[in-house]
Amino acid sequence: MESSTISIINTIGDVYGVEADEGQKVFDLIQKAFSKKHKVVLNFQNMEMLTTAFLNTAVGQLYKDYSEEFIKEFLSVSEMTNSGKVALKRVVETAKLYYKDPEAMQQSINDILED
Amino acid sequence: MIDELIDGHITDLPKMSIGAKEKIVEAIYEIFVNAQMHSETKNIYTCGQFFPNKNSIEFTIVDTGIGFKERINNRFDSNLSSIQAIEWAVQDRKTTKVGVTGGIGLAVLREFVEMNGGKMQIVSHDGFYQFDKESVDSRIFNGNFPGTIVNLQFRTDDNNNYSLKSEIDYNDIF
Repeated sequence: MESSTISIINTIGDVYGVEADEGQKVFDLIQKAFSKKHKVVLNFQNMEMLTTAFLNTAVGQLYKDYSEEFIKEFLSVSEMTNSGKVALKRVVETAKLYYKDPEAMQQSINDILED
Repeated sequence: MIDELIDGHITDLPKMSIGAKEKIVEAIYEIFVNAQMHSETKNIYTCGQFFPNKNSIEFTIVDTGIGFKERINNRFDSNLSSIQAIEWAVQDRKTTKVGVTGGIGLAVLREFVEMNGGKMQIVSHDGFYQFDKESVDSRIFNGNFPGTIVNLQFRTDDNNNYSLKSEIDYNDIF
C-alpha cells in the first residue's frame, strides 16, 4: 500500500498552525490521499505552535467522513511535540463524540432554556 | 495578521518556565483565532502589558462583532441571555461551528488560567463573566458593549511544570 507524507510546515508555510483555513489545506491533502487509498503520515517537524482551531479542521473533521478504524489504520503522525500530541488527542476525542451525536449541541442549549 | 502579534516576541516575555510561557502564547492565539472565526467582523483589536512588580502580564482582545448571544442564538434558534451564552461557550466541547468540531479553545484557556492563578474576563453585550481559581462571577453588564472584550491576566511567577509526566504514545492518538 502506498504512503504519503504531508509536511505541515511546507503545506501552510509557517511554524505556527493557528488559523482554521490553514488546517483546511492539510485536511484537503489528507482527503486526496485517502481517496486513493494511500496511508498518510502527518509530519509536524519544526512546528512550534498548534491551536485547536487548526487541528479541528486539519484532523478533527475527518471523523465526519471516515470511521475511527479507517483513520487508525490510514493516518499517523510524526515528529510532534508532546504538547502538540496532547492537543491533537483532545481534538480527536472531541471529534469522535461530536459526530457520534450531532444533536447533542442543540440539546445542551435546550437544556439551559428548560431549566 | 495573527503572527504579527506575537511572532518573534516570545523571547521578550518575562523570565518564566518555558512551559508556562508556551501556554500563555498558546492561550492568546486561541482567543485571537476564536475572535477571528466567530465575531463576523474584519478587525480584531489587541493590546498587552507586562507588569514586573505585580508579576503579571495582561492582554485584551476586542472585536466589535456579533457577540456571544447573537452568534449562539442565530445558530441554535434559541433565546439565551448574554450571560447564559457566555457560560455555555466556556464549557468544554461547546461550539457554534457547523460540520466542524470545536469548543476546545476556551475550555483549555480556562483550565490554564486556573493552574496559572490568573484571571479571565469576558464582556459581550450585556453579559459579564469572570473566572479565576477562587470563583466564577457572571452578571449583567450595564454598559452593554457592542461586541466582545476578553481580558486575560496571567501570573509570570508561575513555577508549575506544564510538561506531562509521561509522553503520549503516537499509537494512542486516533
